[in-house]
Amino acid sequence: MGQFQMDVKFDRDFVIFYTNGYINDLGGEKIERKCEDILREGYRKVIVNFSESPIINSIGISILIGLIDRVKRAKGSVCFTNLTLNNTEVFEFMGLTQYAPVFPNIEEAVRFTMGHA
Amino acid sequence: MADGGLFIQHALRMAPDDLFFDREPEIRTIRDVCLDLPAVPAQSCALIGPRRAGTSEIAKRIYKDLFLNQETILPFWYGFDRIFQDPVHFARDYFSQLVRQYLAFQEKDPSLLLPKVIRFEAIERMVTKCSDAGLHRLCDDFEDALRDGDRTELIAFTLQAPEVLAQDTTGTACVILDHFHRVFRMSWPDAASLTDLYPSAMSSPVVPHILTGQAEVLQRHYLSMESTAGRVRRLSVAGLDSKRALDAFMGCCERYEVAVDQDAVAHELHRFQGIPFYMLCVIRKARQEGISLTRWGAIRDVYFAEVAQGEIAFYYDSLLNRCCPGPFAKRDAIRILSHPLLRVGSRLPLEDVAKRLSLDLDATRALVDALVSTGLLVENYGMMAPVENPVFNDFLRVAHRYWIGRTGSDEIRKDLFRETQDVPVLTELNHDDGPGPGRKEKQRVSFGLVLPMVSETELVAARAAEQVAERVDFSDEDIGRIRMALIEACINCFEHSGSEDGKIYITFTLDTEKLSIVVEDKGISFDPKKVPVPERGEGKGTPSRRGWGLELIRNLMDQVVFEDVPVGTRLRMVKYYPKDTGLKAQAG
Repeated sequence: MGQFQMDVKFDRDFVIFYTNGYINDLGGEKIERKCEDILREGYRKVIVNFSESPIINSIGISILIGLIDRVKRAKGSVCFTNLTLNNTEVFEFMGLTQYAPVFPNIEEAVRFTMGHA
Repeated sequence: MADGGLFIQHALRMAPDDLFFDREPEIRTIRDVCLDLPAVPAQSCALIGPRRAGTSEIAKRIYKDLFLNQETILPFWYGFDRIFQDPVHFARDYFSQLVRQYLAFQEKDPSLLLPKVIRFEAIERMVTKCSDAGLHRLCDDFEDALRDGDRTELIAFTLQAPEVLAQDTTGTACVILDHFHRVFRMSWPDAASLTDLYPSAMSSPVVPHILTGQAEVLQRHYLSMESTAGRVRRLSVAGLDSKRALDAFMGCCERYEVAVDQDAVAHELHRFQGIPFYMLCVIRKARQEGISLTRWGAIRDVYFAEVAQGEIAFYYDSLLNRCCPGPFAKRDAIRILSHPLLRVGSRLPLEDVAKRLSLDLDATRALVDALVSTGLLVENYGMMAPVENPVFNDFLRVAHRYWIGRTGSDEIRKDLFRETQDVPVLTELNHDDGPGPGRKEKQRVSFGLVLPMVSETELVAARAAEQVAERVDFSDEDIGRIRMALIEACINCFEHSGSEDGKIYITFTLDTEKLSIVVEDKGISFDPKKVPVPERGEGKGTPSRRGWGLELIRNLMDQVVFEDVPVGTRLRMVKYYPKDTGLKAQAG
C-alpha cells in the first residue's frame, strides 16, 4: 500500500483532504496535523476524501474521532466522502457518522458543506 | 543451407538463436494442432499469451522450420507492420510478399526474402523469369482483379491466394499473420474490412493460419466474432515455466557476460513471470551498469530500477501514451489503474470508478476503452478488472507515486525495495482431501504465516488473508471485513502482547463451510472479559477514541474466541462461507 500521502485543496471557505494510502497512526497523525494547520489559518469546514485509502485501521479512526472533536470545538464541520463500503460500515458501527456525515462522492460533500453555515 | 537460416532471421527480424529461449513444447503443440497436414484438415489458431511472452518469435521459428526442413507445406509469413489507407496497396503488398516467399521456397533460396521491402514491379520481373504455370495463372488472375475495380473482390482474392497457389503446387500451405491486431486499424470506405474477409480464408482445409498479436484485442474483437467461432482455435502461450526461465536467465547472463548466482536468480525469478523480455531488460541493465547479479538483493534492485526508469518503464509508458490524448488523461489513467480496489483484484463498475475519483463519466469511458484495447485493463459486462500482470502493477506503483504522489524516482525505488524485502511466503501446512467418495466433505487446507511485529506488517497479513479468502466465493465486502478484522488482531498483538520473540503466528484454515483464522503471540495473556466496551457516542459526545480493536473484530467476523494457551494469546476468528459455496480451489 505504500507510504501515506495527502493532498490538500483549498476551495472557497472549505478545505478538501485527499488521502492516499493506509491510514494508521502515522497516516492519522498527518491528517490531524494538517487539520490543526488549516484551523489556524481560519478554515472551519473540512471534507476528507478517502477514495485512495481503502484501508483504515482502528487507530487511524481514533485519530479521525479526535479530528472531528477538534473541528467541532472550533465550531466547524467535517464530512467524509468516497469511503469503501467496509469503512462506511465501520464508521457507522462506531457512531462517527452521527458527527461527520458520509457522502458517496465529492460533489455531494461539497453541496452539503456549502449549505452548512 | 547454413546461411539460409540467417537470411530468414534478417528478413523476419528474428532474435538471434542464442537469445531465443526454449519454446520446444509450445512449438510442438502448434505443429500438432495446425500442421499435421494433409493427414487432418487444417486448423487455424491464435497464439494467446501475456504481453511480451514471445508469440511472434515462436511463429517466426515455425516459419523458419517450415521453410528449411520440409517441402510439402508452403510457408507464408505476413507482418502487419504498416497500416494501409488504400486496399489496393495492401493487396499488392500482401500478394507480392506471397509470390516472393513462394519463389524463395520453391528455389530453396532464402536470399530472395531480402530486402524486406520490395517494389511490386520487381516481383513482376521475378515472375516473368520463372516458368511456373500455376504461379503465372495466379498472377494473371490477380492482375484481372486489380483491373476489375471491385476492391472487396480484390481483397478476398488476395487472402485466398495462398490456398490457390498451394493447390497448384505444394498442396498445402501455412499462413502466419504477425501482429494481427493491427488489422483493426485498417478500414476502407470502398472495401469490406479484413476482419470480415479473413474468416473465410481461415476456414480452408489445406491452409491453416497462425495469428499472433495483442491477446486482449484478438480475443475481444476477432475471436469472439460469430464468423470465427470454431474456425480459429486459441492456443495459450504462457511465460516460461520456472525451470526454463531459470535456464534462460542463466544463459542470457552468460551471453552478456554478467556475473550471476543461480540461487539468487531462483529467489527472484517469480518477478519476471517467465517473460524473456523482462529478464533481458534486467540483464542488459546490469551489464550496462557493471552490476553483478550474484545476490538476490542486486537482482531486485536492478529490476526496480528498470521498472522505475529503464526499458520496462519506457515500454509501459509508451503504451499509456498511446491510450491517453494528453497529460491530464494520462494522470487520470494512472489513477484509474491504480485504484486500490482494482489493485486488490476487485471488479468495479465503470460508473463507480468515475464517481470515486470524481472524473467525468464520458471521458472515463473513452479512457477505459483505450486502456482495454491496449490490454492494460480488462472490461466485461461493464465491470472493470485489473490485468494479471505483476510487472505492470509494479510499474503502476511507480507511476502513481511519481506522477500523482510527486515522489522522486530514486526514493520510489528504495521504497519498493523496502516494501518487498520482508514479505513472507504463505506456506501450506497441510492439505487433507480425504479418501474417495467422501472427499468433498473432508476437504480442508491450512496455510501458515509468521510475521515480525514491525510497523505495517499487518498489511502483509491482510494481503495473505485476501489471497486465502479468494479461494472461496466470499463477496468483496466479506473479504474487506476479514481483512480489517485481521489487521485489528495483529495491531492488538503489537500493542499488548509484549512478546519477546516479536512475532505473530497466523494460521488460515479453509474447510467445507468456513474460513478460520488463528492469530497467536507468545507474549502476555489477557482476559478479554476485562476489556471495557468503548462508547459509541449516541448523542453523548463523540465516540471513545481507543479500545475499538476487539469490538470491531467481533462485529466483523461470525465467531471470535480466545483459546487457552500456556503462553501468550490465541485468537480464533471464523467467517462462514456464503450459502452454496465452498472451497473452490485446491491448494498449491
